[in-house]
Amino acid sequence: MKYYIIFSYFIFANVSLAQVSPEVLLKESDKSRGGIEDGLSWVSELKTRENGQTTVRKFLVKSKGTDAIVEATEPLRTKGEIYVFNDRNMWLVKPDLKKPVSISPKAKLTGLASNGDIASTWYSRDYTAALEKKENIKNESHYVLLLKAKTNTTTYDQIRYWINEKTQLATKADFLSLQGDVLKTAIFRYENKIKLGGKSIPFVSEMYIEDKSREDYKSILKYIDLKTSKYKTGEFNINNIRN
Amino acid sequence: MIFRIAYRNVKKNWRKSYAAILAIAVGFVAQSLFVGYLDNVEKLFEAMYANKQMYGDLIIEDARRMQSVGKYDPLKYAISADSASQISEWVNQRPDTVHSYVQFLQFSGMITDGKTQLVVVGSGNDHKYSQKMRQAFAWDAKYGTPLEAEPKPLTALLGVQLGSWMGCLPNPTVELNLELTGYPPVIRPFKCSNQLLQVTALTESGQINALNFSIKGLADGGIREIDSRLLLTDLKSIQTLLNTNKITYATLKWNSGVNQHESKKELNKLLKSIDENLHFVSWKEHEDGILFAQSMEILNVFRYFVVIIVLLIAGMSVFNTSIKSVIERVKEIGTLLSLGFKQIHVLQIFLAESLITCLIGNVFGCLIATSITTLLNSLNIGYRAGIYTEATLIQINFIPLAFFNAAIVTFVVSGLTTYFAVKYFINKRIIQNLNG
Amino acid sequence: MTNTFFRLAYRGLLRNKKRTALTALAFIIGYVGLLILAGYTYRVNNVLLNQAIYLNMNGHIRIQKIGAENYWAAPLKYLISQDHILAIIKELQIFDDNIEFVGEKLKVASQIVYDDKTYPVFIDGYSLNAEKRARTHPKLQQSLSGFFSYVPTPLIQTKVNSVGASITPELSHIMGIVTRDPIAPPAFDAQLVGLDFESNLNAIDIIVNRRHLTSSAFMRNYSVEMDIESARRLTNVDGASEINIFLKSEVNLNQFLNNTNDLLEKKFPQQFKAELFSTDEVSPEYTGNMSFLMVMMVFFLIIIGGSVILSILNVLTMSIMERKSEIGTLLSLGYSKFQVRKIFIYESFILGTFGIFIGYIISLFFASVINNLEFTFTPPGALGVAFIRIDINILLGFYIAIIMLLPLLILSYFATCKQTQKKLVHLLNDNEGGT
Repeated sequence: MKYYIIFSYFIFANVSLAQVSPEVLLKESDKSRGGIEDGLSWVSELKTRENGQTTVRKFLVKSKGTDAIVEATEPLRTKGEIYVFNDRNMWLVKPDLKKPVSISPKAKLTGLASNGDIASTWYSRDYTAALEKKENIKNESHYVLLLKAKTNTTTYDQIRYWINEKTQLATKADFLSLQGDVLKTAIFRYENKIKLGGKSIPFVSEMYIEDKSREDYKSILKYIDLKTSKYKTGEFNINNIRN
Repeated sequence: MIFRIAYRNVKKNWRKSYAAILAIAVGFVAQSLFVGYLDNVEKLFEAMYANKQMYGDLIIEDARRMQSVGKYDPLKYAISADSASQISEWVNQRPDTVHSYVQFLQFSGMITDGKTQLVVVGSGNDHKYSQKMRQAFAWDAKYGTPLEAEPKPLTALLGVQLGSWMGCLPNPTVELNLELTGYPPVIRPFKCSNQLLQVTALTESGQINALNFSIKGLADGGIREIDSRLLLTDLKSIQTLLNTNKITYATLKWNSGVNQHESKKELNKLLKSIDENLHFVSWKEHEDGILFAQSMEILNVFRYFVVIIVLLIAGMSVFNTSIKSVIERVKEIGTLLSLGFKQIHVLQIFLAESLITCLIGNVFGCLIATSITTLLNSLNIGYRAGIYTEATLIQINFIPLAFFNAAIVTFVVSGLTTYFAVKYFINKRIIQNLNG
Repeated sequence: MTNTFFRLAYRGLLRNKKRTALTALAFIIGYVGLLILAGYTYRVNNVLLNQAIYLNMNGHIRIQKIGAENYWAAPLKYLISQDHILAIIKELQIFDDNIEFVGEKLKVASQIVYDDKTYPVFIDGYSLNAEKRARTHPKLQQSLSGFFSYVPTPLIQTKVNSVGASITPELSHIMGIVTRDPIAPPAFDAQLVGLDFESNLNAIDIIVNRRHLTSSAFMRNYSVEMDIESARRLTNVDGASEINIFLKSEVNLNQFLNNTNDLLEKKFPQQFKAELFSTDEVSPEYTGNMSFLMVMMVFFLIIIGGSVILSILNVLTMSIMERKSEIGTLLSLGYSKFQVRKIFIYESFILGTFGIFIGYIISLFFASVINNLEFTFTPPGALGVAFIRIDINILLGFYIAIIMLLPLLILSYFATCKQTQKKLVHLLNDNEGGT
């Protein structure tokens, strides 16, 4: 009988694993990081430690689908700076610039706005997911997904993604090179809540980012004062922002 | 008989010929030393481009690479894998024609040791023929070992300055000069504080990619601005980093004695059949070799100027001596003419004497030039030759052809000056000569 | 007595006019050759020197933080703060008599954005006042004028208190802006985007309304020049990478350098260092090119000078051998050996001086001809096409004269020694067996 139960357990467990859809897992986990069609806004606090120096910046973030507007609010000298994300394009708008400046992929290489790609919300749009294994982190079981870029226009070709089996929330992401080496690591915490479709779901409250090539470079991105918002059509259009 | 008379005269009046011999010897030495020095400089520069930087004889590339569009987006105008493979196949079928063939993929990115992040530029090249093309510069690592020594993927050479910023330092520092013989092929130790350095770059499609390289050695970047940014590695590693199988360009060196004209025609036909934008050009005519062309231009101006001055001076001296000799032997000229020798015979005697004197002068000149060359070359005096990071040695090449040319030129100068010196006197009437 | 020797020497030369003329001609040719080469080297040195000091904005003296050779690895660490800049300039006031003006330079790595193109650049931001004074400096203008077709101009004002940026023709080409005249711009709006020194993304607008040339082969595709305030806005700092001191003409450079370093060590211990422009670290193009030219000049001096001197010595030796009986006569009349040697030395001196005088005039003529013919060439690491220019002046002529005359006189002395050592009877008999 004992063996029957154990045997059944394994069969059931494998069936459960086989029944888990990585794509669905990914899509669902995206929601808790902003990957939703509805509009959201929050205040972001970015604390970066580099070369022994710590800098703190605050932003007002508005997001809808694949678009986002990130407006710098602190320190005071950065007030008025706006970063615009339209799909995969990134722009910088400043009061003293005649027109927005396009941030090319080359710019991202030197560290410019590289955190922007990591904080990007919609992995399910850009990546296909495959289940690699299950892993225990802090006594909690996690699905480990390997996300592969659908096109070669994403910044990172692969992401190894840990999703908590119980909460269905992503807790960790390793951003990989084409060869599978870890370039950056992000760790997520979810202490916020938002209402989505009448239900209250957890939402990311903190993202800890580590650059594996630079031991002195660490960032903590906090999500504060989360709200759902309704945005007009064209509100995220770069031409409208400029005007 | 004329030659015997001339020889006897030279032997008898050797002290008086001494001045002319010395003048000719000096002219010979000056010419051959200066030409030998310039030849060394030219050969050194040429070797640096053709061998050390592996430009070979020809650069094969997409013609648009050096236009503004190509400079802006080099990978877009790189040679595709398919084209590269066709060219490689053509090369492999011609081992008697092609000495060596190397493919390159250039890149730029960021390098970090974990603390410091810097811009890096460089290239990866295939190692099949690279050392063969580098010839005397086969050992191109100033510190450490060349990439081809026990080749492994993901190993690199850094420019010395970049290496120092990345924590890779010589241990100890060694002064090496730019020489035709390249570096002595021994390991000069260096030490890196980090075993691995990460190089990040954008792939062809714009994705971020990174590879960790272990540093095998430190190389001289040539000029300061490149030395502070240089990374050299194997082709495959850079293709992996950039996620491409293209190459930026290839270089080719012919075997000596090959009918280059025919071979170039064949190569051109092949390239145009693959892609009309593909072409080859000698590195001397390429933008990358412009520094060489500019340097040679000014050196050639110096060469001709100095040689002319020296020959004029030597010529004056010989002329002076010839006139003196003729004046002293006016009576002899008169006697010879009165004995029935024609003017042409007298002229021939003096020309023969000049020839013999010149020959002796050239022999002395040759011995002196050889001694000075050997002495100077052994002194290993270094100096900075322009904008290169490493010092060059003052070296004079021993060029038999230059010696031969110097001899010919001194013969001509000597002959002409003697001719004009003698002509004046043998035109006089016999009685004027006899009366002195 | 000296008059007598001179007269005897002069008469000795006139004895064989043809030989003397030919010998003088050989000397003249050698002198002209050396002076022309020296004139070319002098002009090139002048150009490169002023290029290094004024055009490249290094100044005569550059002050940086100690360790600033690692600037690109950690720019913020090696930045001289505004407070320090002001303090250093204040301390340098004690040298006011020697200083013409002072500038600051800020070096930044960035990217230029125009249309849909983004390209990496290296920016040199200059303090405007110093940049204007340096680029319009009479020494720079004079040295470049007639040597290069390129005439540097200061950054061009766009409106009050604002200047445009400058890029190289090559960079302009890469960005897709082509003009018929690579030096005359069309002006265009662009942006510079980069990380400020606190690693935050930043961008500024620029108007590119000038093109400039650079002697650095590598920087041709990457060089941008602009005012330091714009560079500071881009990097969000108020400091500079270096302070550049431009001195008045008459200042002794080495002494000033030592004084400056002493002052810096005293007031700011272990923080700053001053360097001369003529070092590898500050101006590698200058030191490298001049090193090469100097080696060539030494070669020329030895080869041409040696040829001339030996040529004249030949003739002198011939003359001495012919005049043994004259030497004997003079000795028998009571002249000392030294006095007899003096006559021949004076002969060489007269010949040499005459040759120098005529040679100098001929050199001026040839230099003028060459300069007017405007032969062009493209020297390595240069600002485009150059004209071959020869600059001859009295001082240069004098130095070459000394270099040729001194060895000649010394060797003449030794050449005569042998003959004057012989026994009187052998000299009078003109007996070869006496040797």
